[in-house]
Amino acid sequence: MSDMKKINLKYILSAILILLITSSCDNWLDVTASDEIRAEDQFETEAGFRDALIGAYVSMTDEDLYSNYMTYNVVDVLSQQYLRFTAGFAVCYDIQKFDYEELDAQYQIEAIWNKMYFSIANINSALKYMDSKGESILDPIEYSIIKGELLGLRAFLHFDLMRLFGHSNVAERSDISSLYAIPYVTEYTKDMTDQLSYDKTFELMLADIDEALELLKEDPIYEDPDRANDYYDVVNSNGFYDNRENRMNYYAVMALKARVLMWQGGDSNIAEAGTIAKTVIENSGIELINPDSYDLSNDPIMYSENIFNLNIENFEDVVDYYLTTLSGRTNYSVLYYSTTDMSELFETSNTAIGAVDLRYNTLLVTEGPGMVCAKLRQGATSGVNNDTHKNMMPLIKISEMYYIVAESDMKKASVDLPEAINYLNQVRASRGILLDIDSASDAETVTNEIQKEYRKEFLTEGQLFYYYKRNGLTSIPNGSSVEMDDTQYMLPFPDDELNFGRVQ
Amino acid sequence: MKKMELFILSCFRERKKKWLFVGRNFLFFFLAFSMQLNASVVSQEKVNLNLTDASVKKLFKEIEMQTDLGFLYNQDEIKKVKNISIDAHNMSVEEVLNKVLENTDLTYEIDKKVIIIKPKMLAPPKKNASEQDEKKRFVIKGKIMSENDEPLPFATIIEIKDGAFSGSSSDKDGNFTIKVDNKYGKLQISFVGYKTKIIGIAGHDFLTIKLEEDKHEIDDVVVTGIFVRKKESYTGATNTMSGEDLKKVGSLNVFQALGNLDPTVVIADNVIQGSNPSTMPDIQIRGTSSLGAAGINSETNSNLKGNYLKSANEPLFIVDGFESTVEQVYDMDMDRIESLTILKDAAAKAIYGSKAANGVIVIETKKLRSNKPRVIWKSCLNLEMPDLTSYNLCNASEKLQAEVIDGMYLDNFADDIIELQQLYNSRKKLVEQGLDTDWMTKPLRTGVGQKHSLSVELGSGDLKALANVSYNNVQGVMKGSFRTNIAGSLNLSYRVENLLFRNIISVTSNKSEDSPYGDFSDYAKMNPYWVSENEDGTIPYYSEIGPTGLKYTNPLYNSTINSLDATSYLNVIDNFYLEWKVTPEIKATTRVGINLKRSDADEFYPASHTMFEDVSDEDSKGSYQANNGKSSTLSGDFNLNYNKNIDKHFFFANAGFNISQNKYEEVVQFVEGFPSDQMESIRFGLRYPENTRPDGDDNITRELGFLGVFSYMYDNRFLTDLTLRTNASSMFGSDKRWANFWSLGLGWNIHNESFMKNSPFTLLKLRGSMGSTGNQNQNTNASLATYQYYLSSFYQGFIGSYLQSMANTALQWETKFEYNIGFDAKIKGLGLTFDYYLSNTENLIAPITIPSSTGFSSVYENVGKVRNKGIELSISYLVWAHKENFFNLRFNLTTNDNEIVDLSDAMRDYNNQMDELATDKLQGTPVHKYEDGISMNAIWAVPSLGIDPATGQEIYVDRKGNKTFEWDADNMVVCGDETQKYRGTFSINGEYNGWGINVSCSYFGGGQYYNQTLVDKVENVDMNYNVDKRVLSGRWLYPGQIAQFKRLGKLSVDTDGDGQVETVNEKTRATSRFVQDYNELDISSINVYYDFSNEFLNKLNIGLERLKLAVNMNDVARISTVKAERGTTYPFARTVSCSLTATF
Repeated sequence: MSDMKKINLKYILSAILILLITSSCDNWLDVTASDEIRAEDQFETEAGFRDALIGAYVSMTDEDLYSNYMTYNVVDVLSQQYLRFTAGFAVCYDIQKFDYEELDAQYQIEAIWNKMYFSIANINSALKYMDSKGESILDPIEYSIIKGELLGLRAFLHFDLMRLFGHSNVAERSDISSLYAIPYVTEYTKDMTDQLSYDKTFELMLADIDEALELLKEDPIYEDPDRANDYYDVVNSNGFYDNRENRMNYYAVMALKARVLMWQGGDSNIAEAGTIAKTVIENSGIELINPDSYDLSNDPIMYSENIFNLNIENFEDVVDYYLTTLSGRTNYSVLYYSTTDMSELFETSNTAIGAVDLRYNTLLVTEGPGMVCAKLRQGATSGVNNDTHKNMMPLIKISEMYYIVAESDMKKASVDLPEAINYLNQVRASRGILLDIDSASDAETVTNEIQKEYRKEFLTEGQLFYYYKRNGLTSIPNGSSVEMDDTQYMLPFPDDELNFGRVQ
Repeated sequence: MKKMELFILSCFRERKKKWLFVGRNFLFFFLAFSMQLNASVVSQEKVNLNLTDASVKKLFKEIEMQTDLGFLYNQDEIKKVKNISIDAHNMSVEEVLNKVLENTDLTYEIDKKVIIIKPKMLAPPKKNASEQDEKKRFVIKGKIMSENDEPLPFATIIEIKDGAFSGSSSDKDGNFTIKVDNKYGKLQISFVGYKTKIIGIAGHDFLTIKLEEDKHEIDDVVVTGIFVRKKESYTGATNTMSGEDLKKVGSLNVFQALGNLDPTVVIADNVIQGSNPSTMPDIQIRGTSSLGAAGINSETNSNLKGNYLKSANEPLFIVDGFESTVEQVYDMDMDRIESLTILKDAAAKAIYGSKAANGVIVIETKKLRSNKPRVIWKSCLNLEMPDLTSYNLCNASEKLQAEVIDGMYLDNFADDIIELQQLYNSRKKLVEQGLDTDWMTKPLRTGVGQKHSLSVELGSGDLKALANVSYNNVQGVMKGSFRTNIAGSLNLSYRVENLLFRNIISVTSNKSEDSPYGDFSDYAKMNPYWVSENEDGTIPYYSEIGPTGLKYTNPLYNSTINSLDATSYLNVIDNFYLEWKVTPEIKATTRVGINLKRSDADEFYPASHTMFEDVSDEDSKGSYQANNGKSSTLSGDFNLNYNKNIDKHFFFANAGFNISQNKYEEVVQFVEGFPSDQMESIRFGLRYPENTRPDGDDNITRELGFLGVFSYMYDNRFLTDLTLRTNASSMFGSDKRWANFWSLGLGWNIHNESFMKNSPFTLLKLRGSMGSTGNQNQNTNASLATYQYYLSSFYQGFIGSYLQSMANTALQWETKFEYNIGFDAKIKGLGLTFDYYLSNTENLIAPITIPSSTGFSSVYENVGKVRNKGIELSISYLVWAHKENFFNLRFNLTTNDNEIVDLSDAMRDYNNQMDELATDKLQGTPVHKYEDGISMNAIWAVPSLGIDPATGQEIYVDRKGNKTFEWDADNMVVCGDETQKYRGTFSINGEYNGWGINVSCSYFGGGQYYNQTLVDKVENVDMNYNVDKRVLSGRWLYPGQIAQFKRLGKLSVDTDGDGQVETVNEKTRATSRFVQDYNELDISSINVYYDFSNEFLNKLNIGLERLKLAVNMNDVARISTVKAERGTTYPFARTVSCSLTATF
């Protein structure tokens, strides 16, 4: 009798035990090593979303991306502005020769591709949780800003991939719109994302941009008169939303849209690009510097003009190797400009143009076999001492908006020559040039001036190549004998990607 | 199996001597049997009792309380007695007992102060039987004894006959007398605690009958770690060996012994680490089935030293029911081992489900049996002697000659030639002066190690204890290298009513050090014309300072300075076990295990160490690496098992639940800048090396599972086993967290069939099983998206996180499907076990390439299959046996055929990487590639026709069959297979009058070996250092010479096709020329022992019960078709150990 009771008790106890265990086991089994955080746990808190966003920016500061290859090195080397490398040991020796099949070049191109998509994968993973949990975990303001930034970054990175790996002169070549563009990846998945046509890809890109713009109306940079003074006090208690120029802010996304529309081309797009660029100039509060009062030698990147720049820790360690001539080192990979080229480009023969141009007289220093642009140097070097805004890499500047307005004026259905000249002159004046472009100049002169501005303004910033490519120039300055077409303009997809059936 | 609950009587089977009795009853019994038993009534004691519905036991206790009498009874027997009610006032004990036992099968005898309860004489001869009947009966006398020749009192003797049967019992000296009807009939003898025996009278008048102790004989049961099954009713393929078996074939550690006993267990020869006592063995059972290097475990951190990770093909170790590690088993005192069982097929392994794919090794430590105190002392002296027979290096003059041929002293520039000639002359002078340094012996010695262990058994009825302390110091053959274990364990068990508590706590403290002399290879490569010691005996820092200023450091110098390479750990294991016999059929068991380990490792080299010769920065000289690790495993299980025998039906069922958590962490720190060799602490370091941070690894896994086992046997003939297991682990994604494993086994005991009644088979069992198990030796969360933080970069002062890898939520457990068919047979002295197995490891986990536009270049996927098949055969033959003496032969054979199925596509990228690696001109070793239809251990090389006698270059054959001088990775084909097609052991084993010998040999063959020594020391030689003798004799020298090896000297060829000739020291890359058939025969162990006779021990008169002397030799001799250097970093050793075991 008592035995029976015991048995029953035991059964009941074990049944309860099993019930308890099975009901809570799934949580109990959710453990990982201390240096790994499960995605589900990462996005359980507001901090997790912030960390993932910051992680996306950190990933962009990689040497294979915007702290080196994607700016002053590979991409700017492609624009042929630098002196020819003398030694095969130079990091971008093959790239400069457009020898994309060489091992070094292949390695660099693959590194760019891989790291760009790595950043995108991180953004996609964060966006996935943003959709599933974001609204319940985050403050609505924070939800909007973080999601807006993520979407903006996704478009930004894809656009740069398209600018590098895609076809040239998309705007003018109608046959391209139906070709396959780079894969526009919107999901963190091991499955391959299908390639879409340029048209469809632009659609996705612009959709991301538009959604980002809508969300980023919560951006503190976007002025909304209805906001209370303490609107950001809670979400920004630790300054997470300060210094918006370091992040994919509202105007950065606007500027990106202008870039994209210019790339896509078509009358309405080009006109819209101009309009957007003007809006940025008028509303962003970012102004061209005053050449007389601006302390350029202490802020060679003209920080106040940046719409979007990256904060790169220990930037010095990276740039030193490429932008400084050091004794006791071979300096094979240092990016020199030819002194005569620069002199010609900046028109030093005309003292009202060349010698007074801050970009020439302050940012270029004579070193080794030529000149080096000191813009990105981090330490104190001959006349330039970047101590106000160290560790910054400009990615979008207000000057580009002026150029877009000008170029749009030239290309849109109703050409507006005077406005184009006016916008160019504003930039020239801000750079110290005393001589305006003649208001009576013809279209060719103005187009030429725009190109010159791209060459002078974006030294070591990696924008010039895209300008050439966007306009499909068959012959580029310093490119000498090379007839430029898509063979040079399009970096080849990595072999791995082609093996999986990608088309380029 | 019916377990006899033997309490007090068991003490009778031990010989009389001084006792330390715990309870007062015992003393009575001792006295009782040391005196003449007197059946007459002696007790005058009176008792007062008032019991209602009480057990007899209670009555006995009551009487014991009131009198100074004691009871002796068998618990099972008194259980049968119905509860009693008695009201007695001042009644004599006899009166009470008479009344109580009146209607039972029991009776009693009183001897002095002891009341013995025993079965009534069964059916005594009837008084009214006719005189004639009486006359027909024969009187048989005899003696009942235990195996140890101890008389067994009160054993029951029954004559077996139809209808009524008669019986008798033995007296206190074991003597008996019985009257039987048939002088050629049979007697059945039974005694509690002993196996019932039936013998034929065969016309004898006097019979000496020995009874065998009834304990769980290792031969009869299968210990699975979760439950114990009777072997006869079990369908799984297992091999059980006792601790004694193991000790006969290996004296150092379990693994050394295991490889000599069961060839299914392959302990890989570690060609690099040799016999380094601190290197863990690499073990596989039934072939390679996981990808290893290419698989998920490839990203291991080489700085880790705590042995917290598992290798991909490692089997599961279960010690006393709990998961253990290679290291714990390696360091285990072999004397603690009761039995070791290898679970091989699905039917046996499926109870461990997700972890069992690589096989399971179940170890049970010694259990308590005896009821008397016993002390066992064992001392052992181990000698480790270096085995350098595989080395074949040049002496001083030979080396110099080789250098000349190589052209070392020639150069294009005149200035250099003068210096080179000076160098040559100075070396030549030394050689002529007779300098011929024997570098290899410098760091070596004969290691003399000691091992002592003491175990004490304290047994008494309900509470038993077994304590064990051991000290084991293994001194390796490299000077100063050792491994020391100090371990203690305490096994306590306590039984009350239906409950059994057992707790085993063991503590192991380990310390091991590597030799301060450094790597053996540093000595083997030294030129014999270099100086190791100055004439005054001092040891110079440089062995040679050439005229050009080129210096070579002397590795021996490092032995003169203080350095340290030590690891240590402390391991505490506590296993608690509770068993509750709910009913005779139902048993519930619960176990809780705690396994804690802390480990430390320190590696210190001061600035003066030769390794810093080339470091220019003074502050960077001297280094310290400190590792700190800890691990904890908590596990528990609950099992309910049911045993029922109804007529011919036997049921067994087990339902279980288990849960566990395993956690480990290891932190590694590096510090540099130790100018003095006295600064042996990380605190004295100058700084952390630039751009370094503390390194390390940690992980946590949790799992739980349910187990159901059902087994049914009909009439001891037809057997079925069904196992269902479901497991969940934190290592797998939420999509595939749970996995089910199962097995089905069928068996047929043919020997129990009626038609086999007259056959010579005492055992003939046919078995078959199929089922699935999983492999969980993967240290990753590949199925999960996990984030890590950027540790060295901030953005705007904020920290950022990033995805660690591409997650594959659909990732599944590696699963092994196995089929096994086999039989066991026994005919007299011949035992035979045969198995055929086929296993398919499915869902192999490997990284596969994905388009990098996903953000990652690879993802872990379930890909392909690996198939292993083979046979296992084991034969043992008892040639002769007489009393204690016997002579036994044993032979084992196992074959393994390994093949990849469905994999090549997924591994394309990996194989391409391997091709690239093989193409690398500095790569001298073959690479592993994985392709369908070939073995995982295939040797990939380019077919070679040998050396062109005209040019001294190698002639290769390309895919089209053309001859070429060009080596091309595309031409690589499978030139061999490292998997041994067959391997086995054989042994002879005998004992005669206390002397015993065991000789074990092992053999293998059918596989190939890529002779890396020939490549590295004959062809890809660095002529600056010493080389194999065959450099001189075997290499091509002049046109027309037919040579085995390429020409010596640098090759001037156009390597990059630019039209210019370069001088290169191109490495010989994977070529079939170095693929050799690998067949080997080892005399792996010789064991000789002597067990001193009882007479001798009695004469000594110091209470010795047993004294055994043994000499064990391991790795005695080796005959191999391959001549290659073995033990490069640490040499191999032969071991001899002498041990003395005394039991008190």
